Amino acid sequence: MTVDLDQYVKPGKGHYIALGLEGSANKLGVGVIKHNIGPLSQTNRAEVLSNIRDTYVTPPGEGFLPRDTARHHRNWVVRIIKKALIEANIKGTDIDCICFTQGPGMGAPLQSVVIAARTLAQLWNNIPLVGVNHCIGHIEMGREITGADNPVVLYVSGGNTQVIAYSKQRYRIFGETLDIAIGNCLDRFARTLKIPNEPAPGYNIEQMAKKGKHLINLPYTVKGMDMSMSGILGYIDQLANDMFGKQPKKVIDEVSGEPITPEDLCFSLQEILFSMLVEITERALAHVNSNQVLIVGGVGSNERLQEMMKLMIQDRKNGQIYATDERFCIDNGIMIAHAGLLSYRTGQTNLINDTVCTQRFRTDEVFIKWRDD
Amino acid sequence: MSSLIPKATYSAPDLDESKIFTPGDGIHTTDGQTTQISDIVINAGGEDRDKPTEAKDTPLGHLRAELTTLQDQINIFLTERMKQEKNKQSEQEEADIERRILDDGVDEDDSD
Amino acid sequence: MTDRLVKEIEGHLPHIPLEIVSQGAEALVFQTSTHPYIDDPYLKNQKKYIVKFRPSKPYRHPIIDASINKTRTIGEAKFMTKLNKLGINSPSIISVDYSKAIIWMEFLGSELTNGDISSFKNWLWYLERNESEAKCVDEQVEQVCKKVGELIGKLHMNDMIHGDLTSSNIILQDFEPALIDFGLSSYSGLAEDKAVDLYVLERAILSTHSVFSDTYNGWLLEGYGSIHKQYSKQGGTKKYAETIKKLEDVRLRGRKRSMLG
Repeated sequence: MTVDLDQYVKPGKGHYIALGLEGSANKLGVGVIKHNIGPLSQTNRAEVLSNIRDTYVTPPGEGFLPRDTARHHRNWVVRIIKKALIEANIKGTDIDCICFTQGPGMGAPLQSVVIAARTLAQLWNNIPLVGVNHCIGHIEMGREITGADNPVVLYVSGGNTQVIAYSKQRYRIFGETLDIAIGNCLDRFARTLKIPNEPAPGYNIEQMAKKGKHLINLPYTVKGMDMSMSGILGYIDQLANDMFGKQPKKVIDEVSGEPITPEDLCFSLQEILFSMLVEITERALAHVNSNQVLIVGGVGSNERLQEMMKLMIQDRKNGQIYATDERFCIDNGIMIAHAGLLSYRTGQTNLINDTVCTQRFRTDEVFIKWRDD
Repeated sequence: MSSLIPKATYSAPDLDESKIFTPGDGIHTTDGQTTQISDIVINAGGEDRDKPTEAKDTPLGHLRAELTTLQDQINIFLTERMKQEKNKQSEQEEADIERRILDDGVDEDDSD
Repeated sequence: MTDRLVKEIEGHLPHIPLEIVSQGAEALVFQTSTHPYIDDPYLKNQKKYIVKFRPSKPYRHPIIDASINKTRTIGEAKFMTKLNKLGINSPSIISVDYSKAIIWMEFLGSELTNGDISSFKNWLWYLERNESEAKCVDEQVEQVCKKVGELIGKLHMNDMIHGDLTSSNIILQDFEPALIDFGLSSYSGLAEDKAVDLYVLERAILSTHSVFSDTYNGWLLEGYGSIHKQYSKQGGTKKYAETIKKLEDVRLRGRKRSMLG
């Protein structure tokens, strides 16, 4: 039996169109997606009509504050939505549902975007609203783009580090960070080294890491299918402060006798953190007897992480790896539109007084009505 | 277009009557005083590319500008109330410590 | 399991017949009919032995890789030796080759009706997929869950931390559970470390056996508590109370963890 996804199609129409609004962190994303009726498949793919993003960037050494991030979203949201509608070549009234990120994320930015969603819904003759879990957005978009049908998902971003697998209509968390998220760890180290935040701190660390060659000794903290990163960050932060602080202290690589550079620190940090990520992913694969991995989330666009994951999966029988590029990996509106539309097609919508956002919203809280495998 | 003048009402149990906000006469712009970017960003050498666009000379444009004024009034009012609330609390806490030291014989260093 | 890995182990153990049992995340587990040095060892299974091999991981930097494989092989062997001495159910160790990251050990477990090895996980999955709901929570399951809890209780009473407790890492030999896989093990008397150990298992049960997870987790903790009561002279009751209190903290931390987009 498969789920009937066409009970709610507008009379006389052969497709659905959804608008998606994302603003849970420093990216404001607006996307328009189209599903033709019938189950999604290789021959009936979701169609991306537009996918626009604007990122709030802070000066080097500074993180993004909720207040300023919310202000960014507030002051750009109308322009970005207009742009997305023009590019998709649709009018507000063509839309079946307006999807928004309900959590998890930063409170103020989430709230500023949901206000836009509520306003538009009322402006355009009460279009239904659909609240979407941000993580579910990443997972469903990743599956749709790559065609991975039932993968173990590694979700790595600024605020999340989770290893997820589907079972009985929920995406269940098998492993996760016990303290800070991977993206947060990299961003904070970028701030310590005063690496620019443009285009993204993690991207700049990745480029520096490519030039690093000496591995410094860092703690390795895998705990079952979970991992911990705050100790590693504390350790390398201290080292960086000693080396490049007020009284610079030279640290020499034991093997080559050459001095350790900031590039070496970036390289070492990536090597140790990504080894841990790949290991917990492989642990989950072995535990649930799967051989497919899908990487989603902003950190998933890191080439070194993708390469390491590929090397791991090559040693497993019939192993397959799926990843998306930065259009879908990094937070975006289209994934919210896509996951929200799946939800809408199974009759799940939010009344306006049920559209309050929540900063904490676990992946396994969502009932995945559109899958029954 | 006088029909588009925004108004906000605030009431609370400890207030005798509701407080009503209106933008009032004067020049209204979208450049609000309480909705600027934080100093941290500017001090760190950042530039503000997220300023709101200027209000157009249309009824909706005027509404946007007047709403910004209204927002300022509300923000200032609420911030002031929060400050008062905080002061009241710390006064109470001080009085409480004093009372505990005097009445219960608690050593000041023991209080957490 | 790929040709590259087969070649690697064959290079280390030529002329030893090996049959793959499972490919875990950090190790390959084989069974073999050959004992490395005696003909009739005093073991439950006299025809089959386990060879556990930690291959090098090409994704890791060679320095990280060598260090992990070495410390885990040594750590596991020492931990198992201690367990064997204490009489806590786990495979007996036969021999260790640290430089090649190979451990030979006793074969525990049997085949389930569907051919899978009798791990706690496979058995529960088997019941869930082939049997009635009642069978999934019957007296036998209750007994096994409690015994698993007791086993972990004994471990913790000796200040030993497994580090990777999942239903995969518990093997059933005639419905008697035994612990396996000690690559992440450590020693600690801290309630916090024990609580994390329990929390990892609790979460693994929740995600792997979600339908009856509450029941299973309840039984596991019951068994865990009962063994502490037995050890009350050695401070078991107090230790139990401390660990459970910490477990509540750890759970709360898990739910409260900020998860920003």
